[in-house]
Amino acid sequence: MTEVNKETLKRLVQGTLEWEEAKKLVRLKPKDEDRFIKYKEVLQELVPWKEEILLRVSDHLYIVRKGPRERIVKCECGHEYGDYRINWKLKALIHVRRTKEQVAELWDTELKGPEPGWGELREYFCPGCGTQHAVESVPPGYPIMFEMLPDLDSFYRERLGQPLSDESPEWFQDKTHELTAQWVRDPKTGSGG
Amino acid sequence: MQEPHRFDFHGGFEMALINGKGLKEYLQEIDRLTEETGCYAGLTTLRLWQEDPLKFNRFAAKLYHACTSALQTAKIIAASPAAREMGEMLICIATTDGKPVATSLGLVPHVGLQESQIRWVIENNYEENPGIRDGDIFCNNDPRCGCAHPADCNTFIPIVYQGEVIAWAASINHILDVGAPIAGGVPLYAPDTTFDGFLYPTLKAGENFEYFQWFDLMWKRRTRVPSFNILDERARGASCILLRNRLLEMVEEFGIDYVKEGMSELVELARREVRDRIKTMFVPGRYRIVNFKPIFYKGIWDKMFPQSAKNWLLHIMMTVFLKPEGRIEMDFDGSSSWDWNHAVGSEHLLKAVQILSLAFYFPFSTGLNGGLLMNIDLHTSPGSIFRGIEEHPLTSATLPWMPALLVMGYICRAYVQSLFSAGYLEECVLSETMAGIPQGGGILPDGTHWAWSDFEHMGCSGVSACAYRDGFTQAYQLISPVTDFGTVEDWEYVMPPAFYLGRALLPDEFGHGKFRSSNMCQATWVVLDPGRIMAVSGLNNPNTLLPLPSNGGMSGGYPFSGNYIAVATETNVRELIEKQLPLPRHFGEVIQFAREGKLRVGEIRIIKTDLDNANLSDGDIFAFAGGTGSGWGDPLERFVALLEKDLRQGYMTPQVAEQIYGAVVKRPEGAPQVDEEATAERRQELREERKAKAIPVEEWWKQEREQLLNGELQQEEIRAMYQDCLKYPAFRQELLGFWQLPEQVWSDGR
Repeated sequence: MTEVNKETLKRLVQGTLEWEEAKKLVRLKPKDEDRFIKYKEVLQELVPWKEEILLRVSDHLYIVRKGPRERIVKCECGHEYGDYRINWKLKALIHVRRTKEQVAELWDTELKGPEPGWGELREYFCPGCGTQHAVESVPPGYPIMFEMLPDLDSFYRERLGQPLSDESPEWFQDKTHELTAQWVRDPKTGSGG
Repeated sequence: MQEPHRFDFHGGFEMALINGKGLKEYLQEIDRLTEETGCYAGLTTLRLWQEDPLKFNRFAAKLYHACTSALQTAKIIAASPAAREMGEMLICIATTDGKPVATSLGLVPHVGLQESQIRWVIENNYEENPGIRDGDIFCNNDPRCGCAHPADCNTFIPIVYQGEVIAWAASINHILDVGAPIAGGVPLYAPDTTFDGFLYPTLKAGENFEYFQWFDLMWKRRTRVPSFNILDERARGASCILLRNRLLEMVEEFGIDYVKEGMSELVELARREVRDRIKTMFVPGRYRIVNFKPIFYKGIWDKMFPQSAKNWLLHIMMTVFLKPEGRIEMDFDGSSSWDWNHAVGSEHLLKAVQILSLAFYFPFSTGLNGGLLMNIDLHTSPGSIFRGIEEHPLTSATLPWMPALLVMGYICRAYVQSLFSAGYLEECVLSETMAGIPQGGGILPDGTHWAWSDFEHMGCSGVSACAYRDGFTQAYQLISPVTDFGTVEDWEYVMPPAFYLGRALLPDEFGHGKFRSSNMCQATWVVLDPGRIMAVSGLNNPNTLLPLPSNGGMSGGYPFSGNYIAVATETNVRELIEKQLPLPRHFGEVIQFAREGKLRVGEIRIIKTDLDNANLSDGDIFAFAGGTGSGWGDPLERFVALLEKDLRQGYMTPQVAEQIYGAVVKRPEGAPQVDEEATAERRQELREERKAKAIPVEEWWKQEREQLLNGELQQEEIRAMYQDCLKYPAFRQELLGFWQLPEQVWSDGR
């Protein structure tokens, strides 16, 4: 059986694992049950900060334990996005490509879209390090997408057998609209709230 | 009369089936046992598998081999390259109640549809009228009878042993022309079902293993290429009979009790495998994916079909819950309503095609069968696009695949995201690529009518980047594990006036990211001696009007920019041929040759969504592409070694390497090189530039919200999409909750 050790996982995370080695992992049967534990340890060694990683959500974004009953999204660079139940994108920087000139920086707009008026490309950057964490391709006016809201308590309790110390049914809730409701109460926001 | 065999499911019930009677009661009993126990057919223990796993695996292997061998043998009967070469065909064996057990390689999404069509036959009392007997041949292509659409034609036969229906053999393949007003297999632009072509509900097309001649007459009278379609039918029928014969041999070898119980255990094993994988490999939670598809009808049907005289932007909203107990809940509330166009979906097809997205991530041991779908709870809303087939008898049956494709290729994102978070990065391969499908027809100089569909790109496409490497080049097909373009020679003979100028992997045509998707492949044809008329139309997947996936690439990768369809008319390509001058090999070269004066072109037409119709003449050139997927990760993190390889192999131009990837490219004599140190510095500059040009989302939100309030959302189709989808609670909550605006902003016409 292929041994899935931390060194192998580290190279897989960094994208330097050779394809022949990766194929062995693909064919591994059964899969290693302690994969998440090893994964978490590898990630913890790679990040420059000390907060406990609870879950990795993208290449450089993590849900971490900030304090008792505080779980936030944090970039590898250290920038913090706040409560993970609120879509982290709302705390990022955004650059929208809506005109042909803006899209032309990416590809030939004579042949390709998005067609102005039909769609736009939204790029989300980290305010700390400038990493591009996400891109969306949507019609104008479309709500920002909140792609993943994990059920951390169930994952840790039932899958790992390690219940989190601050378990609560309140964790598996989308609170994004509470933030936009807060924004609308800002006196600088326009009318119609 | 021979005493019927009695089958005993662990003594739970006995069922005697004489000449097909009793199937409905049998189905109800199986459903009851399944519901009560949570296990297929009440199989709480898997006796055969546990007692002798070697024998069980030998049994399973023989079943799979029987299916594969039946298909590989029978498909040679077909003349269509779609069946013979590129694998747009499938056969499976199903239990008495219609649950698929084992399948050949081929059109995977149809595994689930075999169940829905067999159940439909049983539930609609076909055993009473017209009867179900040994030797009967049933056929259908009507989604209202449980299958997909007119081009995907089904043939299935009962497998009878000592008077009992012990199983079904069911075959499907995609035909070249369905006899609709628009030639080809996928006639776009169908306001209602009267445009669907030769559409037939489940009918008995033969008995005693022989077709009725009237069925051949129907193909001849109602389609343009009856020779291809009749041979396809014979291939399907032959594959069913071959499979039937093999199963009866297995009955002699293993015994009838073992065969029946073994088939059922295979289904239950698959159900358990998916359940167990969800519990052990995936992170539970809520995952959301959206997709869009523009449909253009305005100006085409206005006079005669005013209900179809508009354009649409279809919105597909998918909310997926991966449950800790091992179930998948899918909610499609928020998706567009069905309307009078060709993109009307069906709920049974939506459920059946989930087998495709599951296939990439779950069944590592048990193969593809109906058990996979038993862990899915699926919800669609009344009036939505996924209910159009069920809710109105006249909606078009042409392409329920349209909304289904927007789901099945992209819902995988939920699984990949979950696997990524759980640490199984080696499994993070997105199965999200779609493909363009050209089709057409005409009348040759001698008066012969012809029609064709080209499935080469459905047979082989580019693929998205993985979490740890680039996408595999042209090694993927969304709908089948058999990845094959088919040979150009075979495709050419079904499209007499069209000749390949080339198949080309186009530089820079991929989803950008730290890891990029594979290059898109474009096929380009020249038209010579088309005869009296030739027209081409086709699907453009993924379109470029609104690049997909809408969620973008993973972890900061870009979506693919999308495909374009291209037509160049009034060219002097014949002169180039006669003078033996170089010909353009792809459409980029058509444009380049035109600019350089090497090729005279009257008009170039670039189509960024589907092609409704193009009438072509001698010397015209047209191109369709095969699609590719999204990138993974921030492009500024792409390894220098990979960039250099891209540049040397011509997959990427230095301009793109510099502009999107921040590379500093040196261009010495010979291969281009990337200055690693200078690239690192340049990339840091670009990151600072990003921060400088971007604004906080809160600031953007306030500006956008102001524009919405001022009625600055002008595009008619976008506004109509929002108005329509606001009817559905899931989208209503998202739209109004995110913008903190009342509904009137979208509905008062400001």
